[in-house]
Amino acid sequence: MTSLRPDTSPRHGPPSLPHVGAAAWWALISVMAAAFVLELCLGSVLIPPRTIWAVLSGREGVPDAVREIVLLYRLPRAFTAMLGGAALGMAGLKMQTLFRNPLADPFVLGISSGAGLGVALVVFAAWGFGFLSVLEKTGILGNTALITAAAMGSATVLCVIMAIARRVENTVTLLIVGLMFGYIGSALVNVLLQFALEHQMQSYIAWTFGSFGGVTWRQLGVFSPVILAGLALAWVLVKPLNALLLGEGYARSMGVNVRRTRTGIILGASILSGTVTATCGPIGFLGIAVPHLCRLVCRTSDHRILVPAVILTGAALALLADMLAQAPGTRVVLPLNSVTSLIGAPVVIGVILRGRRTMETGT
Amino acid sequence: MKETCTVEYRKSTGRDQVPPLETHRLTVGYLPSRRERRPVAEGIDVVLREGELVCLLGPNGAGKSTLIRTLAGMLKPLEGEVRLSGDRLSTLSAREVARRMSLVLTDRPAVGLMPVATLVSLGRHPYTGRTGRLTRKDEEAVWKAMADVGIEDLAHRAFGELSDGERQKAMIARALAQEPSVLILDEATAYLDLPRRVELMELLLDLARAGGRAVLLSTHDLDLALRCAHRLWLLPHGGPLHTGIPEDLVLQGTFAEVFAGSGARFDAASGAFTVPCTFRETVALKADGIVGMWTYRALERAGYRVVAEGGARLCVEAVQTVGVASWRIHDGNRRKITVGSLESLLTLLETADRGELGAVGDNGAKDQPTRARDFEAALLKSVRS
Repeated sequence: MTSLRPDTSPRHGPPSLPHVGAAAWWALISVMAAAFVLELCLGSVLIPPRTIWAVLSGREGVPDAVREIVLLYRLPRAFTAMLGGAALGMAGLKMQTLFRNPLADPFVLGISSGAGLGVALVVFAAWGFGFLSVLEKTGILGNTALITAAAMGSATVLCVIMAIARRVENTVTLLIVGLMFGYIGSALVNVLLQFALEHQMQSYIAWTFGSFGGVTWRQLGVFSPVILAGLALAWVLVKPLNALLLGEGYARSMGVNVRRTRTGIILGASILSGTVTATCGPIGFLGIAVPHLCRLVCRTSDHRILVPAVILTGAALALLADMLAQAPGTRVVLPLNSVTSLIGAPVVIGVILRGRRTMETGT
Repeated sequence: MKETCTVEYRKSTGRDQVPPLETHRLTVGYLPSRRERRPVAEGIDVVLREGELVCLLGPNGAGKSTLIRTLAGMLKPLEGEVRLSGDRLSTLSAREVARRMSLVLTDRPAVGLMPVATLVSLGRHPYTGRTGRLTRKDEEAVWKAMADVGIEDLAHRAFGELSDGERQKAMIARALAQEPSVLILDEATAYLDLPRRVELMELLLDLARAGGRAVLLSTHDLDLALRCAHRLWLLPHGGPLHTGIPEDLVLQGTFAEVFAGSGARFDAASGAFTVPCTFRETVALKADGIVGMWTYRALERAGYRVVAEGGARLCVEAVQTVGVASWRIHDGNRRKITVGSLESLLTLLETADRGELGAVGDNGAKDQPTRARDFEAALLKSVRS
């Protein structure tokens, strides 16, 4: 990965600006591709790559059970993990740049708390109206109800935040307002939990564990275009994001419409994180760690490099974490949230301690 | 008085073209709420010309930053207008403003990992397309900006690894990459040590003169501003803004007036600020050159009124033999005592003043022969009195 460092070799004529070599990009893409293949192969049963290929190419002679596992479970799961990881990394990167705070993550504006509140309300209200049992019997429908509730919760928080962002000039104020929303959301959820029945509490907590699994192709048909659109918005914002690294004063002096850029950043990041949270639950760690890892490995804060690097690294890390969460070869499934944090946090600590000097000025 | 100054200047340089930046009846300040209006400085009419380095000076809280921020378009003027090359600032797009004017602010950018060349290339923002991709022309402008500031060697270093002086240069290079006709710097010398500040001022002078730009610098560095700036803008508490070349402003007393009441007193003779104190005794000084200047300073700091030779009973004479300075003290009785350092001189005067015997020997000069002589002198003096 050291080849990702900026190319500083001397040249003739006016020297070119630092950039990352093509070999490094191919290395990153191969890592992601390898993780994708592994995700398809590993799980409660091991399926060799040759069989996977046979299933994907539609060849005969593969047992129906295996075909079903690959096509109905593992493939959508792998796509969800890839897109979800990329989305969380990107949302984290945007938030860290906007708030110029290395501790910012995709949920810093209270998006996940909104989703959590939505889910909690559905779980309990549904019981109140007496149709939760119906939802629970038809598993997939129940899943859709949760996704819809979470999406509505995040969207509500997003709307309120956007309304406030229009009035508030100062970005730090916005950050504090977002944090407060987070507290209000969790507080309300706790109140609801206080009155919850045991199985309701369990279904809520299961949601908070996070999982890339259980997403159907039909849901993926909504999930992927939204995520891809959110990622595309990030590409458009690369230039103003770079200017914002210097602070809002400088950005404005370089001709950036700070207010419009801020709206774009918040909207894009919130759609990404809100969609992932609604579909997969509140998945921590990836959003805060992926941008840091990319910065340290690429040794730059330049978004022209960071945006693609974060997308590829986020996708690869999410795939690897999901793979570990399924504890290959066993029937155990670990909470995804715990895996991302348990594996990821020590890695980030190690990387940061080694590169302490360059971390001084954070983002 | 100021008006005639401006007119004469315009005539003498014979420049009739539109200045890069000018203001008309500009009032700067804040709008804390919808009803309240808090003006900081009013009726400002100033012109910034090509090739000119202007320093904006004023006591803390007079509104330097407010004025700078208004000129830079970060604050809306309460009244009046700012014009960039003849066009009203408020009618120009952000991109167009960025092509005409660039800033160096006091904000410290948090881009520790960014290579200097990339940082400087951010200055091309108002010229690049939607993706920010740099063309050949952009890259050349970036390297020229770094060359003008003299930081080509740092191009691939991370911004976070630079010293304060180097960072400031990198930020100036970034501003130059915007190819502005007006460069505005807010307190750019604040974090730097004296040699670095002098270097920076020379750089700015060069950028103004050779580059045909107008450079405006707000600073607290009065001494450097007096020496380097082509023109000063002096902003006292409550306005109005005074402009003129540094020497005129000193001779007219405007300079002293603007900084009056801020604790220190501007001394037109030395061109520096002195801390006022009550003098305890008068000492005549016979010395010249560097030694004379520093002896004067030492005596003045210790609270003596220093006059020319013959003006006082006690006379200090600096003697230089083979490049080594020593000081001789005469009193009315034609006694002479010689000391080897200014520290001993001050201690001797102090001791003699208080008539305390032996104090010199305890905490005075360190070198043995001088110490003995000092002791003798104090002894003589106290016996005499």
